[in-house]
Amino acid sequence: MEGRDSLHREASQEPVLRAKGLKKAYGKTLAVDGVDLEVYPGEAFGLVGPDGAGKTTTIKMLVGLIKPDSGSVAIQGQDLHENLKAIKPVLGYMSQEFTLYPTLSVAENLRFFARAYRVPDAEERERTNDLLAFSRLGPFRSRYAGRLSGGMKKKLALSCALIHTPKVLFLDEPTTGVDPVSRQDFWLLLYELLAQGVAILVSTPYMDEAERCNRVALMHEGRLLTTDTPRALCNASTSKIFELRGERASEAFFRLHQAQTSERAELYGRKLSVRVEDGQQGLKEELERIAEEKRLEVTQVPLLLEDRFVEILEAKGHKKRPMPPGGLPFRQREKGKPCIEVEGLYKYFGDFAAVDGISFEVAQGEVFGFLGPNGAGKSTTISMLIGLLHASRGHMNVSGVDMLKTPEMVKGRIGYMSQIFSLYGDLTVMENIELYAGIYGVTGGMFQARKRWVLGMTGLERFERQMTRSLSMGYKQRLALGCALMHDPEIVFLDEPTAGVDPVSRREFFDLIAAMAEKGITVFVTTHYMDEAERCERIALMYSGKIITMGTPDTLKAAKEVPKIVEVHPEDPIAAYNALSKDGWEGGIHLFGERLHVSLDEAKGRDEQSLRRDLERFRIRTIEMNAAKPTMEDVFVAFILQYERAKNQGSSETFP
Amino acid sequence: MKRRLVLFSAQVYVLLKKEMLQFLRDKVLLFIVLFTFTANIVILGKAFTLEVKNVPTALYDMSKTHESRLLVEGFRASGRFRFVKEIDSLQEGDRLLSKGDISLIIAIPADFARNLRKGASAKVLLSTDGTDSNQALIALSYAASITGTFFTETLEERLSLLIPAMAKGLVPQIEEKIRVRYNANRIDERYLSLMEMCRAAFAICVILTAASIVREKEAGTAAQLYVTPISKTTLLIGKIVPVIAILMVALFIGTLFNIVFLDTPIRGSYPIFWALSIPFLLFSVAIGLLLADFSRTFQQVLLGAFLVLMPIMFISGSLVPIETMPKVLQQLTYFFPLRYYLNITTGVFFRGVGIGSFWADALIMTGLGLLAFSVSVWFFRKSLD
Repeated sequence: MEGRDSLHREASQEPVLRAKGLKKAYGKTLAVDGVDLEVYPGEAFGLVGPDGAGKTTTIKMLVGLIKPDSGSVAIQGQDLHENLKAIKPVLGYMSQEFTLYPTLSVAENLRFFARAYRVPDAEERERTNDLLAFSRLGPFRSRYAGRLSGGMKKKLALSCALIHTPKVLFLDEPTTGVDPVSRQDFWLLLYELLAQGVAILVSTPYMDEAERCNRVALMHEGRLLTTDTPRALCNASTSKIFELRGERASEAFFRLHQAQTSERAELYGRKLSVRVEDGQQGLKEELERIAEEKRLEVTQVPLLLEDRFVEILEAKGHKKRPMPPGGLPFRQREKGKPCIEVEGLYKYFGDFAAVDGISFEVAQGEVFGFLGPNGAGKSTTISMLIGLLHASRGHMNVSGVDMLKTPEMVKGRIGYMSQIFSLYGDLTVMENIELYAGIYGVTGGMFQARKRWVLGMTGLERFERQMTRSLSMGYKQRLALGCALMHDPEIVFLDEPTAGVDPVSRREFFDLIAAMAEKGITVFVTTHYMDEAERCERIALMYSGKIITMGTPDTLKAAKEVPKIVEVHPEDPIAAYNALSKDGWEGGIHLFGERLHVSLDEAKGRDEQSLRRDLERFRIRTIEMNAAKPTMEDVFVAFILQYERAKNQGSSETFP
Repeated sequence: MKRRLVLFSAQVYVLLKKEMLQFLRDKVLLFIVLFTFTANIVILGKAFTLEVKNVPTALYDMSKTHESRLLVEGFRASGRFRFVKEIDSLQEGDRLLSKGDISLIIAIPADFARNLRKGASAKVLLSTDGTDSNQALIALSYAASITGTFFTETLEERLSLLIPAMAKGLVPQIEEKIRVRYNANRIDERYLSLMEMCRAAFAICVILTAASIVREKEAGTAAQLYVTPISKTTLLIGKIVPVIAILMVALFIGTLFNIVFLDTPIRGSYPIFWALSIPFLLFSVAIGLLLADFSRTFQQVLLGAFLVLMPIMFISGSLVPIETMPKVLQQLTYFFPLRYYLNITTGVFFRGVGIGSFWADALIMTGLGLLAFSVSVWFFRKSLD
């Protein structure tokens, strides 16, 4: 209770949504196992968890699409299932699937939903104009919905859900796979609704997105593990995070691994992050010893929501598995020489340039990250690099093979793991391993050693005869990686390997990536998770077919294009948001629970001084105010906006 | 060289094992294949026949004489007609006909016997439901032969009254001696079931091949397989051999069912039929591969199969005799092995002829199979473009 915003309790004592003991089983699997939650007006409530946690089923029960096996849902004090018809008009719902009509235009889609909700004509006109202005879809009002980008579609779907003013808005993973700029626009739209007192329940697999909510519930295997404000959740932790920075961070990681104390250590490029439980004095001292030996700089950093989630899962017995001892049964490779060289690479589908002239190099043993929204061209690029697609033009050399001339040559030297689980679900664990070993011609002692390693690494020693389809996501991903590594490849390509996987399994997966890089295997990975990008030594940001920037995470964050961010904790965040965002700080303010993140912009005269001046002008009393570190998302947004500006300028120069 | 051979055989082994395991674990697919070659064949054989029996018939006898009763008795005795009702007006007959209660009206006019005795032309009205024109025609031809017999008998009777001793020799008669070869009792169901087995082998082979590739595309396992160093040929061997093996077993089971349940004879050499099934299946596999190239989903495969299979089956001669088709279509049948395969099949099962009489069919069919197969292999790409 302590965490809930005081403001909301004053505004309304009563929750607008109250669910009790919700349960739903599909056959023998319990999808949702007793969910209790309350959402108050003007509150953003985040439902956070991996795929299969039960988020979508919960939301569908809350909006009355699925009848729960037991439990009740009350909206504004009325039972949902008894008064479904009366309650429906006050609900807004945006499902994960696209609910738009692809062959209707933007305006026609909005009109359809207005008619469906019987919005009066005059109100409809006004509302449509507001929504189009907000979502910045105005210039596209006559474009077919099917021809919008992913981010635009999401914004339009939200606009359609908002054509009538709901009291409670349900959003099921609204920003998955959407570019960061659209995601920010999307949240700006939500802040407006919060300011009007709408209650929002939003599900997301991203921890960093959850931090924007007033309260979050961590969901795992059909249950809510805990519910509170993000900050209160983090404060409840019994651990501290220490960061060890320096060139030899990975050495320190493997030292901890040898000492069997690596399950709380995470390697982020040249940074080692270790969670030390209070009272774990031994580990603390060991860290200091290692830091001195490897010349690493130790600092304590704030604990993040994901760390807390992992901590809770650990307490429930879902611990990060240490890697099998003895290391990887692969040969050691020399690091450093270039192994992927790409220059002026293009891929056209008809007139459309899916990959629009990209150039980059990756060195042997490097962990190289490819970041970008859906449709940016990441998967197309990977497909060309591994010989699944032919390049339209350009130069491409992978592991010494000219990919435009002899793409088949590369196939024995690379491993690949696709976005979707791509082992055979109707074969057993062992049959899959044997299949790939046979295809790659791995036999005899080598096969025995690698089979043992794969089983140990996946933790499937006793499940060799299990059908692969019945495994959970985390196991599937590791088994797929094991099969892709069967032949000791020089490079592995991982296309969104951890999408939808729970945080503990994701951390296990990145331990493996670190171990591969240690052996000199090049790891080329794409991801949607901004924090995962920081695990890479270098990252390239891809947007609309182009690489818009490239570098180490630290250099990108320090780039001049990235704005400074000030975190303000006002007494009344909604009032502060309303005042600032209407007068001088439009689009530069984001709500993170009870805090505001304000982007400074010298060019617009938005500096720290003017912020302090405006806070005073609007009589906003602040509890705290300090500089915040930009996240990878801030970096991405900054570079996309810069790219868009440059493109617009370029076009206005050519066509004056 | 030896290393490559070892790698090749290891790859083929694991692929074959994988395909067979997947097929045997897919209960739905397994059921469909088994059903098609067992129950389907028997059901078709038992239920489907070109013979016409028990035609529901209404009688409108206005004559009500000895002669008219004799004629009706002729109809009754044939076993082809079942008298459902005696009616009192043609209107009533038409009503029954349109309701579908009867398929034939036999109306005998009041002056039937009188005309017959006078030696004038006695008329009988046969009114039939032509919806199923084939059945109607056959029923009418039976009726015509019964009235014909009645005519001869009446004539003989009348002549014998006139010149008792000479009656037999006076009426000239043509007796048709019809011998239907290779299917002496003219049992159509055997022929139909056997044709159905061949058509099923064709359709199932095409669909199994295309499905095994397209389902991997859908699941994303295709991409995983295509990025391995496995060669295109090895990959296709892994896909094709299991399909052909499955169908060879299915054909064997289908043959057993034909023999046991429908008494279908095998007068020729079964091994020859079985062996010659391979080039035929090779052609079917090729069609399946091409279909898979143009499809992204299993649904598209099924739609595509429908489009491709139906015309080939129609012009193969298994449904309609080739000789009755337009010239252009007749010519077209030469390009599809189903025609030759059907000829070989009836040759082995019914005509009992050896390879000597259909070696040309076998040769052309093998050529077409190899040609189509080469084309489809050439088209196949280990990429997603």
